[in-house]
Amino acid sequence: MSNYYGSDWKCPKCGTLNNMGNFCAECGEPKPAPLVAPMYQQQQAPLYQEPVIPMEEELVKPNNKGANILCIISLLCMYLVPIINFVIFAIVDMIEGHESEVTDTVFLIGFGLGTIAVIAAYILMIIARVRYKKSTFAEVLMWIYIVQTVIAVILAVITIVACFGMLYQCSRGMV
Amino acid sequence: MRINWYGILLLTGIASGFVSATLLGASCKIKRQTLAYTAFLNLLCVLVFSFMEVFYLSAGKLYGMSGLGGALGLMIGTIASVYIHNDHHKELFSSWVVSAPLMYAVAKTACLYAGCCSGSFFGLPIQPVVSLAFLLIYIISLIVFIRSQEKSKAAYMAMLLAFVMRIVLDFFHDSHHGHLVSREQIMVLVAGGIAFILFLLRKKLPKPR
Repeated sequence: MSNYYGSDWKCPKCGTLNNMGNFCAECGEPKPAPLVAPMYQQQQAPLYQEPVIPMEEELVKPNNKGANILCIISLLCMYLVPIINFVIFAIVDMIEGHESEVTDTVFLIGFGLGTIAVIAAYILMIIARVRYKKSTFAEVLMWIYIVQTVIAVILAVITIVACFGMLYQCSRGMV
Repeated sequence: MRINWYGILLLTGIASGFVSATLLGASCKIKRQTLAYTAFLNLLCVLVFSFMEVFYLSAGKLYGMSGLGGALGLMIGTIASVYIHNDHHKELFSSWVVSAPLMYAVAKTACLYAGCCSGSFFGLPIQPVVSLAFLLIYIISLIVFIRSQEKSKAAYMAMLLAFVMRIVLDFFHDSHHGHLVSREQIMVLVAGGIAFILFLLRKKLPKPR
């Protein structure tokens, strides 16, 4: 490397490179005095350099991998588990018949597992939203779940309020 | 269309409990995001478990809603929320537990209207007695919640009083006649036992983040 400040230097007069002594090997020009101020600045620069503070966006930059994994598991719980349950129930229903105890048992187990899977899906979505605030996947998933929940609640309210059968069921089922 | 007051009163009960819990949580400076997600999850859990209890205990033959199932759903949703959100976990838990008796008290008026869960308490119909008793539990635990710095005390008090009241008042239900211990009481005992074990193990349980 050729400069004024290292052990080898470039002659300012003839331009000869890699002079090692105090005089230029080609023209005898004396080695120029080191430039103290720039050297000082160069050596001390790191000491005076202000720490680089990341922007707020960088600090809360989401680990999208974690959010994506949670969201995918949530989606599987929400839609795949009930579909698998339904397929299994349909197969058992075809084999065993509609009135069979086996069919009833499979339906009850499948219904319970499906319901728990749906609740797990909501919980996973909430965890993804809380821990990975900037994840777009989690945000989209949240809105999908909210919309489908609102639709489900409206349907349930209409059923409860309008369906007189609930009154009858209350006397048999309410505890 | 004829209005089904049973359904309306039931939903009013759930809504009143949710409003109470959210207001109590807000008074403890719990973040709005935490309150919203907790209410969302609890609504889902209350409706689902309330329905599932009746559905499963009848082996899929009956449809309806159960107070005990709703209470179980509320506990599951609240405990899950406590572990998900690192935000005033004692206050969050207590605000929901304290509000549960209000939910039950209002919902019981639906039973009075529908004529279900019937019984007699010294000549009076049991449903309004249950409503008043749980309203009293709500008021007492609410006062403790507001006055005490340690909000968990209010939650433990509400749980204990509700447990005792639920067992005692069940003796006056028609469904209890002919049984030494009714199915309801057994379920309340199991739920109370689980709650008591959780209470004993509370310091060994993983802390919220």
